[in-house]
Amino acid sequence: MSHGDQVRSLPPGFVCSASGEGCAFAAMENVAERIFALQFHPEVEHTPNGPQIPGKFLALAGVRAEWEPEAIADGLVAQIRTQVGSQRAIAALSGGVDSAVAVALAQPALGDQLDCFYVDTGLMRANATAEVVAAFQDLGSHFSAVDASAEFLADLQAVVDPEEKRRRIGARFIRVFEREARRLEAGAKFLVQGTIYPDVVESSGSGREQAAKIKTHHNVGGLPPDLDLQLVEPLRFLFKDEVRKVGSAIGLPDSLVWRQPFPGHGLAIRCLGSVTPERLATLRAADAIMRAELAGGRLERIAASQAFAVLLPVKSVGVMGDSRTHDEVVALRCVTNSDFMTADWTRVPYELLATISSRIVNEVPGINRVVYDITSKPPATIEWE
Amino acid sequence: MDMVVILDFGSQYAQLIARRVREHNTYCELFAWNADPRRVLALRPKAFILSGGPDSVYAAGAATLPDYVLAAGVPVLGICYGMQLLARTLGGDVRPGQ
Repeated sequence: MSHGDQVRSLPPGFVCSASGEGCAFAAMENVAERIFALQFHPEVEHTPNGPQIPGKFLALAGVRAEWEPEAIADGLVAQIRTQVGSQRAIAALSGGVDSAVAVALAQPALGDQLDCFYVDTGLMRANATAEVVAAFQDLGSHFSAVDASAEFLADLQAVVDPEEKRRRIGARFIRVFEREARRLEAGAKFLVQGTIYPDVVESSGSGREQAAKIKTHHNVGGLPPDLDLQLVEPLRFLFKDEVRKVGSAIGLPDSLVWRQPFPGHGLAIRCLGSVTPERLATLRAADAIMRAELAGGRLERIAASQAFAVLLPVKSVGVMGDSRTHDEVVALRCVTNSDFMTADWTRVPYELLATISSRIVNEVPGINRVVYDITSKPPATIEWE
Repeated sequence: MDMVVILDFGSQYAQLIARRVREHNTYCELFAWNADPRRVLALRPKAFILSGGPDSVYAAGAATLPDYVLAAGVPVLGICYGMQLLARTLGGDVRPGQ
């Protein structure tokens, strides 16, 4: 109820349906004309019972609730078929939810007309690549997993600056994407992409800044302009949670559908300091233990929006048996998103943290200390780099 | 399939409104308040939701309620700025709050 302006007298035919302190007309309605209005914001979380109000309105308006994951999936498959016709299409899987669901919809629509590829950067979490390969290997010769890990790791040799890591990974990704796209392009007219609604939705300026802006598409790694492919974007009207529901409805495994947001630059930015195959292996092992224990505690999907390990660029002293150790430190990061902008560190039970810590120092060579990040966003960011 | 159009008057919550509608298994699309009416009406919306916005309805150049919204004869829900637009357009009075 923070808005400057208020309704002072109702239009003819309207009655006041709510009022509050300092606001005589917090809501008004004309039931005969089916026009309803609220001074407050029912859509925001902190409005008590607010999120139920849009549902009430839809019921009063007699709008039929027909937007179900199965129906959405069927409609999208048919749409892809219509758009592509008998032409050929290519698709790039990033390892994320969006591209996986886009390809899983394109697969029944296009069958042998579709070729897709997945780029293994060598910077993925444990099992991430294997899960993608398992989900799409039914495509047979129409699916290829490109192991570009040697190229990425060579680019990252001795690079410790996070911005430089990002720049090199981005540049390499474009080169690999371009190479694969050209290899598969033969006759292809379309590129299937996992663009989602928040990427493309029109944003309206206020009245004073009239221009309605349309965000540019995010291309997978940046599409070379001379490839001349038309975009197929089956998810462009879906929100993330709907993408997950559709993914489940068409039978993608939970491991893919519920995959956490993962930075495009991968484990390179969770491996603070230099990125070597050995340090990546250490990080991957610690990260896998953390996630397995959290999933066992039923926290990964329910309470925590993101949970991952970070390998720090410092060594600390420890003791193992009778000898002194001087090994690396792992930080555990686990956050819960309450909305789009902020995240709180997850109150993981101490016992669970104890299990994760002792498993990591016992099972992962080269780690003798585990710390838990207890900073929210803001002021910290979710990722460390 | 029945669908709802949400007109965005510059609200930071416009996408959140759309998500609330989708949570009720109802399809909706977001349009800027000054989008081409033909594009909006081509979808044959069964209802309109008018978002909030940062303007005052009396500010010079403030966003206005497109004629097609009330002409369509379908239910309308106005939120915040959307309420003020409805009140002003239909003959009520809107003033700065205390």
